[in-house]
Amino acid sequence: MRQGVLLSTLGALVAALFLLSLLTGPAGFGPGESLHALLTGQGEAVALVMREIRLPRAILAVMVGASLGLSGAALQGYLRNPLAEPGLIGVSGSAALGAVIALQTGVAASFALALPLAALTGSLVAVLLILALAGPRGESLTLILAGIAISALAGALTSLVLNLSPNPFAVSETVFWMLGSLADRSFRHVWIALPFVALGWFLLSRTARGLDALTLGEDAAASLGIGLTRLRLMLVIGTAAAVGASTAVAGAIGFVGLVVPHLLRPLVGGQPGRLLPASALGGAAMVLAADVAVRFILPDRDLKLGVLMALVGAPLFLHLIYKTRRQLT
Amino acid sequence: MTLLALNDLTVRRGECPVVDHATFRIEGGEVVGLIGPNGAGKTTLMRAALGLLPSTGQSSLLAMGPAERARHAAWLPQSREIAWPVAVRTLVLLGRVPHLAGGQRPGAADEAAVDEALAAMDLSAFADRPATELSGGEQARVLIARALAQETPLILADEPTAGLDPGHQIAALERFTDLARRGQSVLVSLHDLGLAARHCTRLILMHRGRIEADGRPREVLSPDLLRDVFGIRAHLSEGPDGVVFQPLEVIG
Amino acid sequence: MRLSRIISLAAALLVTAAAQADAPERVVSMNLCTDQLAMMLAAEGQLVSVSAIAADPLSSPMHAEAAAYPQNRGGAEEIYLLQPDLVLAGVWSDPATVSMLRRLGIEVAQLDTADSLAEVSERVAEMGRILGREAQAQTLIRRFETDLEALAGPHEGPRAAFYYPNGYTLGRGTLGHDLLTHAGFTHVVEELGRDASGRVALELLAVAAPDMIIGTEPYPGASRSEEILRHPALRALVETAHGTVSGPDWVCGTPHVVRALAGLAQDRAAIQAGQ
Repeated sequence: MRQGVLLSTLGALVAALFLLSLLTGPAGFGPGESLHALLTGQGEAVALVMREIRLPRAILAVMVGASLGLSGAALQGYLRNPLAEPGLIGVSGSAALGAVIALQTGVAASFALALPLAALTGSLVAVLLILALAGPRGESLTLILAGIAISALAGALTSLVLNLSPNPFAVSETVFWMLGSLADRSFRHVWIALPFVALGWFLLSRTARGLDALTLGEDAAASLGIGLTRLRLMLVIGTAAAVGASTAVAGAIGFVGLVVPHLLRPLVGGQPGRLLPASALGGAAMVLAADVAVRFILPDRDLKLGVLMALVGAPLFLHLIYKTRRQLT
Repeated sequence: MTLLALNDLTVRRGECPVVDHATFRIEGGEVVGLIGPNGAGKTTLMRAALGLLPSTGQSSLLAMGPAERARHAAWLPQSREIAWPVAVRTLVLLGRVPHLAGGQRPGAADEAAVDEALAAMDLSAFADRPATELSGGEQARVLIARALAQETPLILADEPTAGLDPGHQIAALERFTDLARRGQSVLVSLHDLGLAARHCTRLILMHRGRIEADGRPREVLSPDLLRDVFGIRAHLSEGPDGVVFQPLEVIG
Repeated sequence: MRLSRIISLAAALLVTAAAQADAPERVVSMNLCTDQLAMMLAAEGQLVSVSAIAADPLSSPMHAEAAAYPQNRGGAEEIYLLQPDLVLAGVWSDPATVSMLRRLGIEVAQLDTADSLAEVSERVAEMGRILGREAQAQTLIRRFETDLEALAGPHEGPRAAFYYPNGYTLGRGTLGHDLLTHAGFTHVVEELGRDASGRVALELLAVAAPDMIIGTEPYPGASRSEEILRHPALRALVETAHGTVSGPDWVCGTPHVVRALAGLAQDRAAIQAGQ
């Protein structure tokens, strides 16, 4: 019952922020005019702005935020480590590398889903590497070290690919791929990301019971009838699909999957399974809020989402490291 | 009714057998103590019997599917892992996972099993506390309660009493005896031979991967076996208070 | 009268001779705009190298001419090895390179950008002085100013705006603004909520709904910066408005901007025919 209250509260928060995101922008339309134009399509310029510019941006914020929150919660549940986060352990960075390679080689233009598929491949490689390096029980030290190495390599290779591009603008775009932004994304981005994001959500939502059982460790979970191989497969593909597709359209946005599960864990009684839907909604709310904030703070500078996330997330990350430092040594 | 049957169960690490052709059966109503010095292969034997390790030979549990096995045998590993600060009650409720279909919520029967297990382990007062905030011994009892709540005909428990105070050590083994009275069985590895002698209906002694002896406690704890396997001399008597066993000295 | 004429002629010849004696003999240009002015004005053999970008058809209106010169990539070392007695650079050229060349004892002339049509003539004259080719510069300026007059449009006209990669737009005080207004367009930069150049939100452009949107030719390879030029909202705008691109003729303040003006005159005619 308490879970029901929590989820509806978070749902209402997401809805309110979604509305706020739709009403935020440099063209100062009134709320009534904006929503009327959005729903009826009347008022040429207003309708164009609402339907083609602000609506896809708000929808993407929900898709990306929910994907990152959900993936963070699932990875943490599986590795039983609150430091596991797609951005910090290099999954997002590798997805960005995959996307950049697809864009610069022209593969992305060959068919509609090539871009998210390439990003998915990148994140898949990173998740598999992390699981292989950190072992079944994600020890903090190996997890963080492996994450640093994978992030650094992915970042360097992304930079290399962009440097080799014949396009003079590409070089300066490393910052987008590393810090993420939703500015001027269109419905094209919504459609190419949607199938993979949906697949990721479906797979990850089915790991809840297995993650709960893993609270007792691998042996106990297996003896409770949980198929660990299947669980691992759902986690790996689910995370890669959700994070990969999100990164392909919005760049790598860090810390969402760290901050959101950390804040919500006490509210779900620590249960990893219950944390999944709560983190998905919480992630959506956080990215929506951050995307509204970047438009308020520096309206004409395309402030990157990752900058805001790091300002909130990095201190929390340090706090978590401080708390688990005994386990680190 | 046979609850567990092992036949020539063998686990190798490289060439070296860690469990060497173990063969025994456990019928209903038994509390079987698995004893032996460090490295004798007790944990490996139990994990292999459950299918958690690759092995050769037969274990009746391996013939079952994972779900059926989880309803037949509960496993209490030695490592006491509680990864998240979940409430004691929630943790014990995990023992009901094998009884729930996909997506099914726990019902009255599940809640009753949890209440019973909590009461049996003297944990009713802790039910709503986060399990990670309890002491090591209390956590051990929570995990035993989780295995009890699984309500399986067979429980395999690896050193469940290590770290418990004497009262709760005895209480844990008395719960196993209660289960045996109802026709269930427990295979429990123990280092405390005194507890094993008093509370087990049968002892299996392992040494270097082999089963050295299998029988009533008085037979298995014979001076010869104690000397050859553990290198100790002990006092053993049976009086009005039951079996009393006390190791006395190391024999060189 | 006659004598004075002869004297003045002799004096003029002397000045020219002095200038030519003083003129640099090995000139290296490392900036796209100085490349073009130098190629237009330099004497045979005077210009020994131009920047590599001068040969890029997407940026340089004189890419064919540039192919005849050895190209440099703007590094101090390679320029020094060309042994120039003068290096031509822009005011925004890499200051590290410029100061390194000066430390090595090479004279570097830095030319400012031309932000208006009037400044185009000034730059041509300046380049003429630097290269000791004033006469050629004056001829060029006269031809340029005649062309300008011929291409002048009315004061008010179709409403136009720039929309470049990253949502960048040009403001007042830019050559682009001057070209647009000279060709008879009304530049609607104020309606985009700004006066100077900078990023402008796509939704503000949609609200301003100009009659013409000036974009850029896409570069090869992909970039997110250019992706905005394929945004459905912008496409919808361009469908109702007139879309054009600012090609290489727009990049530098050289007499080539008359070709940009000629293109704009055609665009204006097309728009007004449509209305």
